[in-house]
Amino acid sequence: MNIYSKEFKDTFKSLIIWSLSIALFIYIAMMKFRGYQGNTELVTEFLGSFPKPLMAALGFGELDISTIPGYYSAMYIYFLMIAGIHAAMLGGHTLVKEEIEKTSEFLFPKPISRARIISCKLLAGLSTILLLNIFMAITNIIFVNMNNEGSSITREIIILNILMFLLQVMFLLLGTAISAITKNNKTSGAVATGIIVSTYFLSVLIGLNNKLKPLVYLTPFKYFNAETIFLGKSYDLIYFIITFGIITIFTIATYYFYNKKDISL
Amino acid sequence: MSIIEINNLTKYYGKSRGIIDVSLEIEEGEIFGFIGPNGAGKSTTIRTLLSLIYPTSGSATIFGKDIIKDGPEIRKDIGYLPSEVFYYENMKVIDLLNYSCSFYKKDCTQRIKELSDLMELELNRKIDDLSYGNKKKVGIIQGLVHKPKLIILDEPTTGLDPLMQQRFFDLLKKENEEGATILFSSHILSEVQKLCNRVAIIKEGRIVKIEKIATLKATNYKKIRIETKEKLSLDSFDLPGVKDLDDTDHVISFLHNGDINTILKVISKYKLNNLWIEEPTLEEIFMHYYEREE
Repeated sequence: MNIYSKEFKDTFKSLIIWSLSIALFIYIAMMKFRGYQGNTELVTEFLGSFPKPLMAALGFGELDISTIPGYYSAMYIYFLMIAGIHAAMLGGHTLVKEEIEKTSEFLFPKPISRARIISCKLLAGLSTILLLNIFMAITNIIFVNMNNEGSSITREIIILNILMFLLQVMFLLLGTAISAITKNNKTSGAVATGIIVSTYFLSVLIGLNNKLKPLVYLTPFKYFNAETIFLGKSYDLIYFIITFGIITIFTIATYYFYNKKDISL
Repeated sequence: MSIIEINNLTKYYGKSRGIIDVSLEIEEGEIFGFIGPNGAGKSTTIRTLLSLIYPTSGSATIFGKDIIKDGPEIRKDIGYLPSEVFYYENMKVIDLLNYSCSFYKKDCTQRIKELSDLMELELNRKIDDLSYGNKKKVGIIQGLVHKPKLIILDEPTTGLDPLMQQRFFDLLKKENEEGATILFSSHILSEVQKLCNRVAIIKEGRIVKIEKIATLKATNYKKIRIETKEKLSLDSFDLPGVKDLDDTDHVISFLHNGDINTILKVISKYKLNNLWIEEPTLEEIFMHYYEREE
């Protein structure tokens, strides 16, 4: 547990910075929404002038953007992206930072196994992304309730944040797996972030071009969109299976490769 | 009982050489020197023993247990001082030492106090603000705090002033008398001579010789340079035990092996501007050491 608490303390400062930035982001988004809210017709007309596929690709779906569910659906993908990048950078850094900061010669000669080091660091990472998730949910619920004139969407926000947590876990493990496999320690966070941004753009492309539809399984951003829940539909089981499958594979890869890795000076 | 037993250990980093076919046995209670120039493979050997890196082939045991399979178990009784000390940012000395102790599940409060008093290290300072020598002291205490049965030291004296070096050596001797086995890696022969019983010499990744220190002590090379006003004839220094005699710009330099008094008597006959008596580099010693062997 000593590694866990040290690790958690180390990331706490950056967690606060991330949280404050997210709060600011949500605040600005909310201000924009209030602008839309007063001018429903104008906004609908303006947005209607864009081709539908493009709007869909950017997250504007069937729901009216000037309503709270429509606003939240459009924003959700960005929340996912922010939380995903945070998780991936954290995962890409946590294992290799001992090498980058050259503290590996302190930690590894201690009487603990590599597996235990990984477990402690993963637990600390999971705690951090969970806190970020909860903070995001609470902030969203507060801002939404302050501006919501329709029925409450608190329940939906909570469900969407639970789904977001699954993807955060996946991205955290993407980061740790990459850092366990590659020899170039400094780039693993950047590579993981790059993968996330690429899958986001893939999801945009899929929205623009129907022929790419079979690729939806490759981009987590297509797994759980917010609109589904607001339209009262349910998510395909296959996306849960894929998510848990990928999480399992990344976990195994992290432990397997990090156990065999030569710790560099 | 052998505390460390290394069998044909080989490590390649990709294609580049780390160590080749290293075999060693270190007995309980020994202070074993591990000596060789920088890049010879000392750290590679040590880092393999500690499972920071994994061997390409060969095996090793510590306390009779396999270094890879039983690594965590073995490391309960190992204290390690790396050649370069780096610690976590924003930690006080005491925080770091307590963190280190937390891995051994022992109460080390008393021992931290004893060791820090002995090494004159302030516990409440931030590690980031310490000088290199003081960071090294943190490393020493961190390596000894849990009273390990095996102490592994990689170039431990760099950065320590002579007084601290002496205290550190005394401390090591005491630990040794109380039962600890010590593996001491260095590129400075005189250091190893002072402390060790036996020594392994490593060169370009291979062990070239394992020798009792008594045997090595027979070679006591000093590098001597003298600067004079007038040009001296080199012949006056062409004595038994003198090697590599050279003369450039009124500076005569040579290596001397033997009674230091003999050579001082010769030198005292001349009027000098300057005099240097230094430890020769390891390479210089080895060159002549092996010349003699052949």
